Amino acid sequence: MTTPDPTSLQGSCFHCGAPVLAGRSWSVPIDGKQRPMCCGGCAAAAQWVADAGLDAYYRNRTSDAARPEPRGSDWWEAFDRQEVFEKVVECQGDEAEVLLTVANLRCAACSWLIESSLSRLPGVHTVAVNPATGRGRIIWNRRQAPLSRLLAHLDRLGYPAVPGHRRGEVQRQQQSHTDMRRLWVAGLGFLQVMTYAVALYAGAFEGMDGAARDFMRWLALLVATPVVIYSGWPFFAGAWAGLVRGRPGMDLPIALALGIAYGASALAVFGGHGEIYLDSAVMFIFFIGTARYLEGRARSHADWVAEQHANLLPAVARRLEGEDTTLVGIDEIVPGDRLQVDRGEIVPADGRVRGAAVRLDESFISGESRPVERRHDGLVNAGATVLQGPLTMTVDQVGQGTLLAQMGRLAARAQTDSGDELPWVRWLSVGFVCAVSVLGLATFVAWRGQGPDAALSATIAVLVVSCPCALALAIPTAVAGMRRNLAASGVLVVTGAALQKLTGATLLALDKTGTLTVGAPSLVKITPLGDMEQDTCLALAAALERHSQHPVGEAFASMPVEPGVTAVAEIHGQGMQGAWNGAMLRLGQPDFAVPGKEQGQNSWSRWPTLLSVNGRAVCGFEVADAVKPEAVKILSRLPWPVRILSGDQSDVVAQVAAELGIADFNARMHAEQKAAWIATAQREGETVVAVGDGVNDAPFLAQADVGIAIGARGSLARTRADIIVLGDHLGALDAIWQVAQRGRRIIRQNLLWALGYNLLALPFAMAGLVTPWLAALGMSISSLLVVGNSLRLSRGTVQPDGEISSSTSRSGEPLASRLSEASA
Amino acid sequence: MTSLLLLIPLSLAILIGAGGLFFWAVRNGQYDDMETPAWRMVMDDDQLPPEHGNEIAEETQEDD
Repeated sequence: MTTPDPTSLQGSCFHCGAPVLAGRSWSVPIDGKQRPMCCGGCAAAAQWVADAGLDAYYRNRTSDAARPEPRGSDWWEAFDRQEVFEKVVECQGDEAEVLLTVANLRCAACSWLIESSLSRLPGVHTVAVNPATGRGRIIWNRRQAPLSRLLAHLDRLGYPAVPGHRRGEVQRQQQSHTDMRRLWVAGLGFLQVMTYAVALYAGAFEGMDGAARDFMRWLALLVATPVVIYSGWPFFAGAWAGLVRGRPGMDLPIALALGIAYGASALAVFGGHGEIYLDSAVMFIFFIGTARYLEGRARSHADWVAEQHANLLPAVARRLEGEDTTLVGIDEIVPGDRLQVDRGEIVPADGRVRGAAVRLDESFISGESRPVERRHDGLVNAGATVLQGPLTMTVDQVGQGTLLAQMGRLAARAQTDSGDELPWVRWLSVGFVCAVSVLGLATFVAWRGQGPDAALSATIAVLVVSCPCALALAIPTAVAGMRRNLAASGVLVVTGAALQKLTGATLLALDKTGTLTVGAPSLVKITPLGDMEQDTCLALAAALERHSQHPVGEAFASMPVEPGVTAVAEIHGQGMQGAWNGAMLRLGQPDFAVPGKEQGQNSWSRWPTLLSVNGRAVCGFEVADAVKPEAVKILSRLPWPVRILSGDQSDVVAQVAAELGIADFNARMHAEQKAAWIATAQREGETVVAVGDGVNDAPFLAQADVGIAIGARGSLARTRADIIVLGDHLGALDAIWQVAQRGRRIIRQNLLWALGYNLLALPFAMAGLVTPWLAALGMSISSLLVVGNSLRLSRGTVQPDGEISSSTSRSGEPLASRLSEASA
Repeated sequence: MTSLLLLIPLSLAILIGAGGLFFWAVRNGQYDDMETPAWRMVMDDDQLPPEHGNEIAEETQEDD
């Protein structure tokens, strides 16, 4: 059935599209035709699909499947362990429900295939998979099938699925449900009440039966009451919360207006005379409720994205105990454990490499898509994917202590920060709210002579029209837009107010090591000294340095190695020695590599590292901490004067400064000294932007007006930076600057509009020329305009290398595709 | 007028019924995923063979 077919069908695998190698091909009949397969995995999957009669999958799919690379079933059996199982599965008696994140969902046909195929397994009750988000849900009878069987089946079909963490998801869903219900009640109530209101207006013109009029009014009150109480509840709760905190927000005028409108209308209905304003109240609730519902959805999506950090981590890991590997739940790992992580798997905890070097994909942590190599004792972070392994590591941090979790917390903290901490903004909104309330009162008093109806109408109109919703929305929505934009470029904005300060900054202070320079030794110059080819020299050096513990070895780490170099030994403090084709190789200090030669005699002594064969110099290498290639270009794009504050030696700093064209620099400064320098500059009136690596520069970044951390490794908890750049590329600075500029423009537009509209409409409202419903309409449109304007900030993402792309954010990419890319 | 006395409360009753249905639908998760059911309709065949209880046999893969 699925045995290798010697009459090799060439071409591409029908299942996954990979090339089929001659002599190693399988074939499976699908829809009556024999189809070539590239491997046992594809063949098994295809055979099962055909046997189940689900050939429609192949007919309807719009993209090749992923090649199934199933793990052994023992991997999945770890999910049957009690500790793991109860964390991811919710049970009601025998009925169990699990939420999954499914990988390799390429098109709609995939989700159909999964749903159809899983449903056939005994005990499975419901399967639902959403290909857009990669989320799946299975309800099954756990007596009839263990979870491992379901997961193994999915794996063999080519869709490895990871049970996800539930809590945040459930909360969000419940909130979304509540919002939908409130909105529905508001909408339908709005329609009904408007109908009655129209009848009443008509009756006011044409004359209406007293009984009919009363009937309509009572109906309006009846329908409006649940709307105001149920759908309007968030406004009242928000207003109260704001008052209690001492910071009245925009909920207060809304709640006031609603309360007055409803209360006065209720009195009017009971009393039998007077105007009712229930139509305005309900319309108000509906429109603003809609705006909030949409905003809630956007925020919940952002939360979901942020949570992907946590969902990225595997639920099980391999712990090494002596010579054996045991599969344990991720929560069972403790610092000090030794773990093994295989190719394609995700590192479950922070720690250090033990043993052979590995290559990792750290894009989820650092935004860097280029693979990085980590050698013995190098740091690895939870969330990285092993590209070339296996990785053996010791654990330093688990769970909440990992870099990933800290990033998640920072992101969450950033969510709640609305960027309006600039003092003048706060005073503006509070002042506005007070002014509005006073004006409302004044209007009421002024109009009282005309009778309560007119007075109330005018007062409500004033309160509604001058409601500072647009004003209160102006800045936070813009800041949120800037955040989203930058998040797509791998920049985490912790304090939104910092973005606004950037446009007023006057000085840029940069750290050198790790910020302007790569931070690790790299090969700066190669000079062949004999007739040996440069590539051979490099390969020999790489072969020797491979076994070196010295940091200089990093410079040669990614270079191809010359085979045949043996007996490599490190001579401490001097260099490396080895044998090759009978000759003795030495790489290191000049007098070590070429012993006996007079120093200073010739140009050789300038080279820090010399490669020699049998005592004769063959090649010179200069290894240094190179300046980042993009540094010059990016610095030229930034508007501020630049100064380097570095802890390194003067001559090194001078060299880097010269290379970058920076005139001002200070060398040999500790972090505290740097902070003191900034404080002095600030006293002289400068607004300082500081850029460092965030970890040992913490005081430096904290002192500055805007602190930006680039290339931060290690603990983010110690970072007091306002903006954190994931990754090392300086282009992020350019992105931040551009977004800050655009943000300032848009905030200005928003504020202008919000204030202008309010000031313009206010006199009309006080004069009684604006009816409450018109006021509500105008206010809603005004708010929507501000939100819409701020949305412009989300487009035009600036990529880390400075290019602008108009595509949507990378951070919104479903986990599914990330998993599939990593394991491909 | 008397017709109104009947019709309007009737419409309100229908509205409440609709509301109840909507609330049920929300709780039942009908609005949680709006895209997939559309695709599912396109894909479902009329005839599928009877229940196929086996999972995929655990084929050993040839290592590359």
